[in-house]
Amino acid sequence: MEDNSAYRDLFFEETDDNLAILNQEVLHLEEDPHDKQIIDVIFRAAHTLKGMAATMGYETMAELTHTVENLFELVKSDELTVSSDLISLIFESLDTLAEIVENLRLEDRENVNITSLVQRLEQVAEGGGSLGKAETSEETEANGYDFPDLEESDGAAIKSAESAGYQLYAIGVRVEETSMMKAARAFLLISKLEQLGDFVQMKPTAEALEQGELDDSFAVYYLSKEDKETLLKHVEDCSEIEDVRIAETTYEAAISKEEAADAAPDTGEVADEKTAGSSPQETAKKRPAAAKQTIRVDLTRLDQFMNLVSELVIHRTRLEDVSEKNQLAELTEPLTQVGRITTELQELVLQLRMQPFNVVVQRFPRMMRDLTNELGKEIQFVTEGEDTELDRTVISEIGEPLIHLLRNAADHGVEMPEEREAKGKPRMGTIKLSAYPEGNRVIISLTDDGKGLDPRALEASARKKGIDTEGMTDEQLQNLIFHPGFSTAQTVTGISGRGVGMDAVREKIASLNGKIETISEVDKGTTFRITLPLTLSIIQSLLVKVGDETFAIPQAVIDKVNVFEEKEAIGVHQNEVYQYEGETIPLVRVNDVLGIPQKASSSKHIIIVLIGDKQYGLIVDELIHQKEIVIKKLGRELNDLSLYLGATILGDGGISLILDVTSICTAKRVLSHV
Amino acid sequence: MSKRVLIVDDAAFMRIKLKDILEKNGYEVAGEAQNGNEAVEKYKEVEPDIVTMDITMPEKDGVEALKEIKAMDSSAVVLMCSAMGQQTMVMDAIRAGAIDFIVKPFDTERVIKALDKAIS
Repeated sequence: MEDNSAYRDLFFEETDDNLAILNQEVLHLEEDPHDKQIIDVIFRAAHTLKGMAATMGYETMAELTHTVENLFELVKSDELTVSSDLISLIFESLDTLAEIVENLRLEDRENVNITSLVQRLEQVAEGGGSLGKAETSEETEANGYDFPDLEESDGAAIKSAESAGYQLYAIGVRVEETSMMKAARAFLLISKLEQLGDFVQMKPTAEALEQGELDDSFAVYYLSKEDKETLLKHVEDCSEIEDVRIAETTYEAAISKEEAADAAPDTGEVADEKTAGSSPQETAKKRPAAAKQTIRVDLTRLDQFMNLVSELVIHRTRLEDVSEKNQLAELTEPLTQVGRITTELQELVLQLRMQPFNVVVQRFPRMMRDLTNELGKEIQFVTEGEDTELDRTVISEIGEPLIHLLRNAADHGVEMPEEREAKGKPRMGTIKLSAYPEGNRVIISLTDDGKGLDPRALEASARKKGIDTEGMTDEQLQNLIFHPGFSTAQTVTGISGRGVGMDAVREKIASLNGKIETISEVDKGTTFRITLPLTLSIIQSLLVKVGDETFAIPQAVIDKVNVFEEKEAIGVHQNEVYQYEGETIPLVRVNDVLGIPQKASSSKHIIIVLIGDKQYGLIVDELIHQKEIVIKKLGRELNDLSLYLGATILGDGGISLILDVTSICTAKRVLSHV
Repeated sequence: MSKRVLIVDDAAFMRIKLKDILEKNGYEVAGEAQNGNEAVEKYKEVEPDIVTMDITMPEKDGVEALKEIKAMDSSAVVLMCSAMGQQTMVMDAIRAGAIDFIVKPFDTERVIKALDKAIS
């Protein structure tokens, strides 16, 4: 199948999309089993999957999707009612499909036995469908064609064509259901029609057809000087076409549904088999106005674009510096323009990288449903702010930690229904996941109304594990859940927690330059509040001098900056500490960690940073100023330099390294133990 | 008079199968070719009423052969035979003037229907 290799990536992308749609919509269907629109969406997605699988020659997948599609055809025609058993069976099929797709992705083999699943699906189909499958398909599919929408500009074109002797036709074509390469079949017909006239609009679009996207039928508005019989004759010699309907129509008729129906009786047929009489008509449903046109772009290209724009910004700043230094008045105006444009470019490229939170969230309802059933609990899952946008990298990384938190909330947070009743709470627990922007950050919060984190239980558990809890406040005790190797679950379940995880969650979020906080009250519930930067490549930073070198420190970790005097350092064993707001915090002399000679004369500053829930005081020689910087990753050759996040280019063209404060603080600890 | 067909396919098995289908349904096999170059030569030699043209073949593929035949004889009737997953090439062939196409594995009825329609 070497011919297919070029489409492989596209196949997987689209398959993933369609599977996601199916999962989401089947869930909606369970809530609202009679919504025809949902059923249509499911049907279409299943059909598309089938078509793609068959085209790629993935037979197992094609068979399974075909069976699922058949089932939904019955649902569509009201011959099968939606039950929760049916939904579960569909979900099982979707899981199997996902498994097949994974196998294909990894080793290009399907490797999944679906015989029993298909049998069960067919049983359901037979049990429910009293009319039998064949009849059903004819009955439901003969119901007219889905015609494209005509635009206003088409109206003018049609009018002028009509005065030149052209006739507007509404043409619907249905390809035989069992026919392969339906899109090419349609394409063949379209090429033939093209010889005798012009297309006004078609559905699916010509682009979609060329991509091979076609269900069974397509519909076009078409202008030709030929009469209907000539057109019919001309397309008659195409094989595997089930039905062709050509109706004369007008622009006005085409844009109004009722009139389109009136124009319909004038139809002709070149069908091999006679199909039930129906008429081409506008779809009753109002299509969402002009669907957004999108293209898929390789992420690396977007990154490259981003990089180039950053570079542009840097050189613009340099130009501004030069212009200012040399008092070049002539340059000021164009430079302002360049500045404005680069800023817009920068915003644009940042937006390009943004994706709605929904991309992550859409798979959760399904997971929560399964979890709820598995645990025997009653949980209502609510999401909010799905359209909040986040950087693409954050979107792709945040899913896993959120899954962990959600599982924890369902497993450890929300109590069993009886227990909740006994506490005077509603039987059904609520888990709410919301996202909203706050300044140049995004807050994701996850709240449950479960039993909350009990500081006493955490303390006892920590003691058992040999963790020192001496003098800890309740809040600090609650934060113990982030301690490596800590779990309060009495038994290990498959659903959450083996004692690894919460610390990994915090680490993951920290790696995204974010932080996670816990607010919890016993028997009221727990809230996890995750703060994330909007973008990962441009950050606010504080430029400082250590020795003669300039470094940047990400603003996100900085709590406070103070003037520092040597006498404030208190030696404890081999370490130094500092008194800050009544607390004793470790002191880190950045020049020691980096091996830079100290400057004697400078006025030193201490920067209080917050790493996780621990504060450190970083001593630097001099503060320069605050600045928005573009992070440039260090090359692969410098991967070992864990003390730096990257580098940035300053306005004067100089380069400054960005300190990885977490590594610097922990590095100090290592050194001091020696 | 039965219509004369030129079968082009690189797989002997497919040629035998097609030949069998055609002869049982009143067609005459005027010639066979196993790649695009041969197809063009044979077309000149036997002047068939219709050609069944496989797409993937060594040396010269079916779409190229189709283009050359069409260049020699613009009224040539060429029916493409495609394997699954070759939709793009089928579309290329349609652009180049193929009258219709059938998809392998063949189903006798479909082949005959397509041929009947193609020469009607």
